[in-house]
Amino acid sequence: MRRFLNDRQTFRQFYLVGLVLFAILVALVWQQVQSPNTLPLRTAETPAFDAVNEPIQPLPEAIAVADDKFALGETLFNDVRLSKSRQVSCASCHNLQMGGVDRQPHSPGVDGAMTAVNTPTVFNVAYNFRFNWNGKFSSLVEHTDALMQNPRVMGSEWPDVLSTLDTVSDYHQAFTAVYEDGITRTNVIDAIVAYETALITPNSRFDRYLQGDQTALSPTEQEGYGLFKAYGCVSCHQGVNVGGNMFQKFGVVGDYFADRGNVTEADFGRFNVTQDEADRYVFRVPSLRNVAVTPPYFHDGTADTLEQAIEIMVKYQLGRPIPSEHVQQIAQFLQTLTGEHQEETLTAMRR
Amino acid sequence: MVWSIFQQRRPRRPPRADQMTNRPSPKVQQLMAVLNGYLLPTGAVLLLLLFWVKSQAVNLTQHNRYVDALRQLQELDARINQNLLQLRLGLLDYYDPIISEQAAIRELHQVLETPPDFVGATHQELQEQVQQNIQLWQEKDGLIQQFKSKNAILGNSLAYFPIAVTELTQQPDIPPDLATELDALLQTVLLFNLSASEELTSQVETNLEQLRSQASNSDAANEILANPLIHADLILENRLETDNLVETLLAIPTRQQGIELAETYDMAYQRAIRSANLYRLGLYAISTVFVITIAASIITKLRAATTALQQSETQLRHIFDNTQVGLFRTRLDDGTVIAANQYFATMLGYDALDDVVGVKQSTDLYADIQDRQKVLKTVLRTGKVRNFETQFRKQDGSLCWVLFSCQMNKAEDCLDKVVTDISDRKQAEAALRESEATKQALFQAIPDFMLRMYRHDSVFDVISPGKGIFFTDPNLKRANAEDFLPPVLMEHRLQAVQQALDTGEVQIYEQQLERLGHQVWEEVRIVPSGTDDVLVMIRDICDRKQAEAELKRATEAAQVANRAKSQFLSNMSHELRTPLNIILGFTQLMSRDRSLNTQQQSYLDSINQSGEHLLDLINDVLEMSKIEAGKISLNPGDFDLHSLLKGIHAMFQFKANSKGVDLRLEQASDLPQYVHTDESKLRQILVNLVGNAVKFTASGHICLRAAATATVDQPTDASIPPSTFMLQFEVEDTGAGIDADEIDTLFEPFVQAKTQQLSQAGTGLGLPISRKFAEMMGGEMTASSHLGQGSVFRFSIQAEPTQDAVLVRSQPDRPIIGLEPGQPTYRILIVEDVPENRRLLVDLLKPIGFELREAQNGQEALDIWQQWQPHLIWMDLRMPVMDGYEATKRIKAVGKQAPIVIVLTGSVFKQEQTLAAEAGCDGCVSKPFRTDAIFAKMAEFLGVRYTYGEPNMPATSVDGGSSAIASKPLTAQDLQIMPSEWIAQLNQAATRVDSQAVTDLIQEIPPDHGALASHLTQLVENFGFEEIVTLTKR
Repeated sequence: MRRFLNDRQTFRQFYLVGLVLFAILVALVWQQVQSPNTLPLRTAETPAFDAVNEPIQPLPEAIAVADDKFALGETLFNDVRLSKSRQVSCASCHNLQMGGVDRQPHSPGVDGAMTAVNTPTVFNVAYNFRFNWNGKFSSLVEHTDALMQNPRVMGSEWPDVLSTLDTVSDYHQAFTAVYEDGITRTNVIDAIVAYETALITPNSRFDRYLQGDQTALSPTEQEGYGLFKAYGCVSCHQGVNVGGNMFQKFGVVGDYFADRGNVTEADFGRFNVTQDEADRYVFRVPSLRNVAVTPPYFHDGTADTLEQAIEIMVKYQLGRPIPSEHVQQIAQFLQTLTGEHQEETLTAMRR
Repeated sequence: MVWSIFQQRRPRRPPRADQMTNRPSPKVQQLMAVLNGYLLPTGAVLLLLLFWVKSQAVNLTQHNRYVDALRQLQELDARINQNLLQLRLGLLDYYDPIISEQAAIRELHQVLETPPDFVGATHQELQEQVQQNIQLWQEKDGLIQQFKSKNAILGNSLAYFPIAVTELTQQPDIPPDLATELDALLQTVLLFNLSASEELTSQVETNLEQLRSQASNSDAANEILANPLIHADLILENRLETDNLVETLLAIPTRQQGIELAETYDMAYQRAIRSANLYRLGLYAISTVFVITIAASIITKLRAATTALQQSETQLRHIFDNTQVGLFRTRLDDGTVIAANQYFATMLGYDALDDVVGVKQSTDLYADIQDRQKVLKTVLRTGKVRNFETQFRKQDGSLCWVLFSCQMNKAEDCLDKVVTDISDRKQAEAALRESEATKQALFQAIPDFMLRMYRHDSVFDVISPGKGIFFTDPNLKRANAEDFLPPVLMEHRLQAVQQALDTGEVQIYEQQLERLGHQVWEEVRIVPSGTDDVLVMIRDICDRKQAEAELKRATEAAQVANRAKSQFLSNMSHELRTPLNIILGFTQLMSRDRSLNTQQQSYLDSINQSGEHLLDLINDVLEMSKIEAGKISLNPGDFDLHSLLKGIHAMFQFKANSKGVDLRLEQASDLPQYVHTDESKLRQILVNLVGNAVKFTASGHICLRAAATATVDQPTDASIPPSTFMLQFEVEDTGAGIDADEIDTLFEPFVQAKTQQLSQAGTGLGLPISRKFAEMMGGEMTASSHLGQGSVFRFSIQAEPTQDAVLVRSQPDRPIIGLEPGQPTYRILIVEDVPENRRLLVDLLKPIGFELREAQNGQEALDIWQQWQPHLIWMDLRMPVMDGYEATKRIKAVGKQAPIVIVLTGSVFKQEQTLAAEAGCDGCVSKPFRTDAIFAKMAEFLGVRYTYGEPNMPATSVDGGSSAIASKPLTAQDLQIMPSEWIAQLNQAATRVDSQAVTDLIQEIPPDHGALASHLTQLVENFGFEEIVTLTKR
């Protein structure tokens, strides 16, 4: 080797060759580093739905999420270790067996604190344009992140959560299998969000009807749909999610809150977010999918039945009288909005 | 790297003088080498990398994504606006499209918030604009939310209001005006809904006011109207608001801002593209330069390699072609010559390589096929043959010896061969053998004992034992000389060896010693043959010694005889000449006296003539003897040839005329006047020949012819100057002639032709002497004759030209008797210590008319000179008190005013003349002098013009023989200047008549007694030994 090095001519030639190779290597590496400066992809693309010529659109069959991520998210969703008290998991309030809600007017969070508003369903959240009744969160990521840390919900601090998860070897394995960097905040949220996104309930009878199956709906239900449209319910509860894509004042005609009484801060709705007077009593229009299986209704959970909810809605939102037959028909129509989860139609019955 | 390429190509130049002092140290040099070799390439590569990176700055993916996002932004904006309008017009009944569009925009904003890196400086501006855009869109979002809400409400109210009013107006108990107003309100509202102009707005409001006032008037009305009025209000409010919202929404400059954003981005992009392009260009340029440089260096290296290869090829080719040995290559299988160099072809006599290569086979080359077999066998066995001597056949069939070597070349399946021509060596070997054989033969033939000896060594090697008996053992090869030589001879031998080696010259000496019981004489020759060895040849010279002894005896006898002869001649000369000298001398003296009468003069003439004749006889005899003894010498001098010839002619004119014979002189027109040769001898010859002609011609004519020719041949004698020419003389007469068979003997001494014998004249020695003289002067003499018709005697001599015109035309026949009138009185000083000699000059000059003074020595001369101021001084050299040299010096010291000094030198030796010349004399005349010479010199230096008398004086005899006029006789006293031993030796030599010894003794006479020397010399030459004996008698 020494002799090789001593031979200056050869050494120099080798040096030069090495130099050139090194340069090429650097160039290649640099190029690699440069190219993908893309944004972190969304965990799931929300596929467009096949539009029909109706104000309400049917849900697609599924939202594609990687199986391993879905499974991980599911585990996390049901894991009470995510909460501070180790008592509460996402599923505590968003019980998939109960239509994605807990069927309580308010839900108990960690330390037994009750939420200020009624828990909306976790199903079909992919098609909500905002989350929470006041539309505070624009993305599920924000939502999950905030609720994890909300003292009335999960009350967790991420470092604790992560270290807790870290102790579990299964999570290690699962996380490292799915994510390169293992158990991180971003990844935990991402898994949960992926799971939530995938929770859609396609193939409701109404969706089938929209897609051309005239027999999916009974005549009464069809009439109910007609009335839903004629009365103008559909002006807010429209789109693929039968709502969930706009804000509206609760009490367009008449003052709902004055009539109900016990106005709380939660009743101010969007005002709490924007501080805009125009937004007082403005709420995100909820999705009516699976409405039949997610009582009680409204942000305050004051309507226990569909009929009650319909009546209040017509009175305060539409400002017109409605005969009870129409209420029944509309209520029956609303039943048809219940979709399937894991190929089983959600039920109103508690398991 | 670039630099290093150039450095590699260029050979190391020696540093210039001005850089000498700044030559970098080895460490610095090393550093610079590192710099060139490593840092530069590294730097270059990094530079290239940098350029490349910079040229790649524009990430197209990012750019496309961004541009796409911008485009989609605009699209979505348009679509949202479209949707809003649709909603406004009731063409769209759900909000999902807007929701998804808004979501998409939010995503786009995220994209737009991270512009590609290449925007560089505009990043800030872009961000600001993106934020602006986001802000605008947030504003729009907010408004859209409001719109959605209000639109829903409006829609519902619009749907219900007509129903409500219809229901009311169809009730039976409704007051009709109320109904009418409600209808009107409905109309107005519906109209208003379609186009919310201010007019309609106010109308609706008016109507509403009216109805509201009516409602407040009665509870019933209130109850009825409450609901419709609410809806109407709602319609009014929301219609206006939704219209406003739509207007505002459409007015929000999201599109313009989007365009601005796009433009800003585009500018940044363009700039980035440009800069990237520049960098790319730079990259390409540098790359190209690199490639070119590398290519150049590769090419250079290749070229250098090619050149080196070519040079090597040329070198090898050159060696192959030009080497002085024959190189050739033959195919292994059939021996065909497949390659050869020029030397090989030339060596074997072929003109061109093509005659050999591919044509000849090795079978053609070997003279002996067996040799080829031998070679093949050896080379196949061992792979090579070395230094095999064989004969090759040349092109013309002749053979030549060669030294042959061969090597198997398996790679190319051939034999590589080298041959050198060893003919010379073979010849040399043969010559050596021959020489060796010759040497052996020589040794056999030479009877000498030959041995080799070394410096300082007495041991010798026998080369040839010789024919003599030198030692007992004939086979002896080596012995020690000490065993054979006595110590003295041994010593001598070693010294001689040493001497031979040191000087390189052959040493020869004789030794006498006893060998094997015999006394032997040997001659030893020592020849140096190397640096330290000599060849010694020892020859037995007993025979020679004997011969030498005999020779010696014979020589002694001859010498005794010779001496006897000389003694006899000396007696003859002395006894005869003494009285003759007196007779002639006084006769001449007397004849100068003008007071004699004619008859007395004629008597004197007769006496003189007879005496002269006698003298001639004696002289001739002496001449002959001298010639035979080889004592004659040439005395060349400048003289007037024409004058000589005229003199001869004049000399015999009278006699010829008196016989009635016509004596003619014919000299060639180009005959030079002044020549340089021996005048006296020439005169003698001419006198002899013409005299003979006159004697033996009774009638007719005698013709003396003289001509000069260039020497036909180059003189072979190197002592003869190349400007020599031949003088041809002829004496033709119409005399009696000579018999043919007597011509041959003419030139024998003492032989007289018959005709001669009849007359009395002649000694019989004239012709032999003349011929001898002619031969001595480089010519020859011939005679031809016809009996009764006449004879022609021809002779030739060599002469040289001379320019000397100083010779005065003396007229030998006419004596000088006085001076021409009109000349000054010349004052002549005569300086001579010997009174007789002085008187001679005085007696000679006074009658002529010169004013004379005398001095006895140099000192007197000086005194007289200072007072008297003579014009010319005759200076003798050997004088007491002050000699002639000194006096001459002193006199001449004054410079130009000094008088003419002519020195009278008694010595024949040149030395005296040289010394006199150094002293400053103007000329010299030797004693005994001719009167002519005296007069001539004075004429020469003073310009004296003489008057001449009648020509009846015989020519004064001039050769250094008999005249005692000019010199006084030598006395014994004169000899006393020499030591007595010398006188005794002289006496003995003269008694012995040993002329050689006498001459040698004369040489011992000191130079200032030249007179003595010359006198003695004269005596010797004239065989006057008796006189010498007398003079030297105690």
